[in-house]
Amino acid sequence: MVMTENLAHILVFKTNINNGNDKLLLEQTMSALVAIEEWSIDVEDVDRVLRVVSHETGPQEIINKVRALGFDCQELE
Amino acid sequence: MRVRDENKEVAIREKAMEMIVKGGFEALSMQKLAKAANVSPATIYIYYKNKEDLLHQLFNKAQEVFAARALQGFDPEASLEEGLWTQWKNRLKFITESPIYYQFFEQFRNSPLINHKNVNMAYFRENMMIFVRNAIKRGELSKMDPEIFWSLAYGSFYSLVKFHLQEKKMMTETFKLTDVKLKIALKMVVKALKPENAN
Repeated sequence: MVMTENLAHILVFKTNINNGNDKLLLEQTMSALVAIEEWSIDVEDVDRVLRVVSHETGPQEIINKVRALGFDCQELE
Repeated sequence: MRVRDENKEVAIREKAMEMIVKGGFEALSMQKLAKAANVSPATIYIYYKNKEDLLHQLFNKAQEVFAARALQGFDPEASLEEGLWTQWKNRLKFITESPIYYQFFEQFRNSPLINHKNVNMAYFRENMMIFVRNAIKRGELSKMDPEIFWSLAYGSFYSLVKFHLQEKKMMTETFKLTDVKLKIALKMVVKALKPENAN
């Protein structure tokens, strides 16, 4: 069986977001973006990976928003 | 275009189980897993949000695979002896062919890390329940606590598996669970499960 489900709506970013206040700040921004269906951040990983599920938002838009908060953010390779 | 790759997913899953079996839950990290499975960290994060999410999905999937394998050719309407035989054979085959699943379950069983119900197991449980009810109805099985039933019907089997895998040793160093030996044990178990007044 060939699976051709497109996964382009799942975006992953490398950030420097830490626990606590950083997360709160991010939460405010993320919850304000209505086009985002789901998001999570893995602060236990060295890359502090931000994962966003959205069919309408592109990676650059997320990067801009996160950088506007003063954090590093780039697409994870 | 980024698309779902079933092969890659299986590779990630089995590598993750392998790492857990070898070094415990602590040994696993998303980065280490990416390296071991020869994929980019981004690929891992497409499928899983974090380590906890990975463990949950891993456990669910492993149970699904187990259920599918255990139910292969299994008829819940079969007699107690026939049905148990199919279960034992299926489970032994699965354990021998894919030991990583068995070891992974063993690791999980002793872990307080995850305690959750898997909804995907409903079909499997229902099949097992129908099988047991039928056996009681036909007078092949006495009514007993499910824990007692499991200990006799499956506990005995898993104990033999441990000897077979050399995880436990008794008199001989080289006990092998052959079909003949398995059948001998099954006959005794079936006899023990029978209501007292039955022949």
